[in-house]
Amino acid sequence: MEDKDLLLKIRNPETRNYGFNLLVRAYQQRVYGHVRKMVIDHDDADDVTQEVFIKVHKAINGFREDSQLFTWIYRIATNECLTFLNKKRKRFFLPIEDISGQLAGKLDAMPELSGDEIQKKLQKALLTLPDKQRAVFNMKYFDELSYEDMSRITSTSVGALKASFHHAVKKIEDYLSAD
Amino acid sequence: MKKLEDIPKKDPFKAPDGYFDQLPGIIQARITKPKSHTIWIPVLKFALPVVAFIAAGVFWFSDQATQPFEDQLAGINTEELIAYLDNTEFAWEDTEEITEWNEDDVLDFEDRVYSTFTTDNSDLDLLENELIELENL
Repeated sequence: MEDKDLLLKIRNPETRNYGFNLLVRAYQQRVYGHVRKMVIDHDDADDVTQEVFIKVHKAINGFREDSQLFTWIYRIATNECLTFLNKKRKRFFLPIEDISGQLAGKLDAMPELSGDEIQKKLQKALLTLPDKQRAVFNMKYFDELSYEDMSRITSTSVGALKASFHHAVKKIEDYLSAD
Repeated sequence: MKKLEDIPKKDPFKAPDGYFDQLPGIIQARITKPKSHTIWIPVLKFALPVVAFIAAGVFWFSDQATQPFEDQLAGINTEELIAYLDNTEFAWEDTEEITEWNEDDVLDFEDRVYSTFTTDNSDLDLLENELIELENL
């Protein structure tokens, strides 16, 4: 079903719940995947993903169709991830490096990464990046979004995003070459 | 130097089995949850102290009103009471106006007064003799 039809169902009071259920089914995997790469832990990703869709539900009536539904949802998801990580830091009075260390510890404990050392190392390299740069890298590298879509999601210019991604790649390759 | 393009691109994170089957239902349950609970919490936060204050006031004043008269009187300082009576002109006329005596009340009052007398016939004889002596004088 196209976004236009989904929105029509959601905006009709009689089919609102059904339409929103379809929206969740259509976007849940992409939203969860994006969130999970940012917060690493599944339980945290579950909480944040739910919050993303609750916010989407609250704000859907104000959604203007001059942007794609997907980029709008992605923008909410990115903001929720950044807010979550900031709160986590404040709650435990942690600097950036310490929360990265904490998340790296979670990577070591993940069964799906056991035996795949190169992927684990790549993920640890990503944790050395600032949160916003990590989000930019994930959107470009893993989700293969266009710079134009990323620009709408992050409200950042295409040039700045290209530079941010280029620097991220450089840092990651330095990390991978370190040992 | 290790290049990023040498690493196979894949998403290493997997959601638990069945997670995406359950998630839409969980979200649906959250968005259809009645809102009254969250609306009333802030209201109750302010209303409960007010209700408690009013209840305490009602209890306090009703307790004062039901306190026995003797207890209230005992609570008054004797010196203050004497000073009050000395400095207050008590208007008996006012109380007389309020009290209305009918004939039955008067007879009843008379009976109650007479019933307090403990006289026997010897007393009456004595009084009678004294009256005779007075008349003879």
